[in-house]
Amino acid sequence: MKKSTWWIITVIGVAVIAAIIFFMMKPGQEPKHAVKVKTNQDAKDELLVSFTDQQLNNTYYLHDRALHTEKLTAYPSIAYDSTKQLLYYTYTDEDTQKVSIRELNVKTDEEKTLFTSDDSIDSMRLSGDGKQLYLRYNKDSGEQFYVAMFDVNTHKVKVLYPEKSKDDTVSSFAYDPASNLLAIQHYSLKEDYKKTDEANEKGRDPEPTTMKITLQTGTKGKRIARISQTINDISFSPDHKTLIYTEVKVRNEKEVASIKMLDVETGKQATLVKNSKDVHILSAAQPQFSTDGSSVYFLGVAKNAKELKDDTGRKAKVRTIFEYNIKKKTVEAVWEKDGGIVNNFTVNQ
Amino acid sequence: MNKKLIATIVTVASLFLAFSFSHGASAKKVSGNITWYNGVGKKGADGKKLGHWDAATKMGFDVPKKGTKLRVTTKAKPHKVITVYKYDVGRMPNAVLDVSPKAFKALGFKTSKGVVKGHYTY
Repeated sequence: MKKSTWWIITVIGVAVIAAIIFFMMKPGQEPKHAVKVKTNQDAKDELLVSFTDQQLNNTYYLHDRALHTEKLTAYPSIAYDSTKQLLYYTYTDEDTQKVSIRELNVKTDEEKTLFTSDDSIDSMRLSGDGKQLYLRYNKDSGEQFYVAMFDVNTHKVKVLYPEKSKDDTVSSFAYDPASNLLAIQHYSLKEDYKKTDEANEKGRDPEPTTMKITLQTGTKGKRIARISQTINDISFSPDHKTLIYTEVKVRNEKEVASIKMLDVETGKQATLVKNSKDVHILSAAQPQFSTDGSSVYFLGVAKNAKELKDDTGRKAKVRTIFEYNIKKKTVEAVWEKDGGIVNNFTVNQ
Repeated sequence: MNKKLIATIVTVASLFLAFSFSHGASAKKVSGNITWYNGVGKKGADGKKLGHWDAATKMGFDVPKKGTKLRVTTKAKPHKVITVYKYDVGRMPNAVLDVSPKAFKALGFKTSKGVVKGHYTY
């Protein structure tokens, strides 16, 4: 065969491979408005967003309305009572490291400190009647995390789960204010440390710790799943039949996240949203259903997202809250702001 | 010539695949210097008595929760991966992560080295 013929075959071969790879990479979901700095005024839900700017000022937004700004001193957590227009947020004193739950009346600007403790709180959900806050709670000097209930009137904390175990620890919880249903993602500290110890000795990634999901009905718990993967941030569908969460796998030295669904009745799991070339799902994407159940909000990084540097020199890319339409299988940016990053968000109910 | 043809196709395909995987990373990544400190047995800023696999992160706008697992690796060989837990906050001027002496050694370096470039993800 002539030399020129070989070159033609080579060029065609490369073109075919390039075309195949291009179509393999082309995502099913094309994000609209991926790089625009904006909030979507047509959004059907109000999102409560904790946003930290490059000067480490943390602002709590209800959709596009700034409710309160505070210097960031620890991981922020928030909840909002729409009826009474009360913002609940945690504040950590930088010197004493004591954590407070504060209540801010956004109408009158009146603020009250409801609780101060050496314990820590990194997640809050308001009960349907507005009388309790459900917390992921950590007692001082401990490594065990609990689900606890804080009474906003009596200011008392009651640990709900685990009640007795010294080994069981809570990774995340889902709470539905309409039904008061509580689902808890938990695991064994002993198993987790054993796997970390073994992996660190060998200088490689640990095997995923077995995650258990328990549905708490009254004082009784019903185990609905055991998942041998790293998962984060479980959340209920409005009909309580499904839980969604982020699953993280290490592939080629990189952590890759996807959003999964779990059937509460059967324990069957399915993938709902995958990474695409235009949207990277964060490993803590905090997926949550819209109030009508037709879509799922999650935290991700858009293609070509701007990289920011904060006052301490820390770099991070601008994060966007995306909405995945379950029926149309499309992804749309619904909340994005330049000049800082979203640390967490909840769908206001 | 056959070898050249195969080599060209394989090279181009590898480049495309490498490019596509580079878009798949999902973790929050913090790069910079990694140092060690004698914190084991002492109480960290997050309240916990620190163990060998507990670490201090520098406060920044991207702040991990207490107890978050951090996947740590270095730029230089031997490229070992370790897992540590965020239970302290450091005010390190020139580092993003402070680990225990045992963790520093698990990364493949003697403590006398003092500092290595690397990153953590979570």
